[in-house]
Amino acid sequence: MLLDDEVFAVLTAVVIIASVLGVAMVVRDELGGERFTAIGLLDENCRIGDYPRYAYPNQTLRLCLYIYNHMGKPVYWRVVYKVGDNTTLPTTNTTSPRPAIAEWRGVLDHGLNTTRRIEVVVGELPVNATRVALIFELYTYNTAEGRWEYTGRWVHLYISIRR
Amino acid sequence: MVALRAHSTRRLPLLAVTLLLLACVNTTSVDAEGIDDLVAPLVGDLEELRRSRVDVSSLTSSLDEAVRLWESGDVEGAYRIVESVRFEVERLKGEAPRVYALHIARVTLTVLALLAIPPLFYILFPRLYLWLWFTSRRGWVVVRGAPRR
Repeated sequence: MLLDDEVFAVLTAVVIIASVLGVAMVVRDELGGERFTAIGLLDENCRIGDYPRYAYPNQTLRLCLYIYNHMGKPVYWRVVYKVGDNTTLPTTNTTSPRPAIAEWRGVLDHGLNTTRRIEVVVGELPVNATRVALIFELYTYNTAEGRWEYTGRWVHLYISIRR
Repeated sequence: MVALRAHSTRRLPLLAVTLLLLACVNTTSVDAEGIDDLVAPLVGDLEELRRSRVDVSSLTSSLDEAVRLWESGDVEGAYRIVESVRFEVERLKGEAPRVYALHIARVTLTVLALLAIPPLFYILFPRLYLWLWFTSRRGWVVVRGAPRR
């Protein structure tokens, strides 16, 4: 026999699987996959690791914000900075009740990230706080409803307060 | 009457400071809302264009630059960039249907080509194999009683 039937069947099966996988990849690209945003806090050199451990009241700290967009569309983002403690941290559904001290905005296309150098003042401290959390909450603008929405993503950094 | 006027005069600096503070607070909130009012509709347009598969990465970067300029206090520079983005968005809106149609055609052709591979393989591969088999043995001579290798 010139071409063995079993070999031909195996080759055909491989080709069918490859074809189906190819179609699945095209469809997945069209649907965009899982949609999410991400926020990260980096040190003043925009790297992970060398974070400040303490600060004096109203001292200015240099940090870096990292934002990533995987929403399948461009997003108009905003990060709100607050100072709280372990009782006033945000959750995935609610923001921190502490007052906003500063905020930063930007526009990011799908699949891209940005790092932004920021300076934050360790102010608006909770009463008698010796250890505070620098809280950064990520919001995106809902263009359909015309308002900012909390994404449920936040990052915080604990530092000690020296007086 | 005189006493009342004197009382009002003493409170005048306090009132002025209060008004000044209120003006500052009001200006800050207007600034923040101002950039939102400026950028948000354009972001909505960019979302729409991206849904039509138009490449908006450069426009997104420009808007980001405009927001940064606004935050750094260069309102005029921010306005200039926003206006250029708005102009480009309007131009791209006209091209969006054509870009989307081309994209749909490209995706459809890709899927059809991928789906066509198995039946084409089933039909063509045995024929191609046979053709190669016979071609590679074209010069062979059949000899009766020759020893098997």
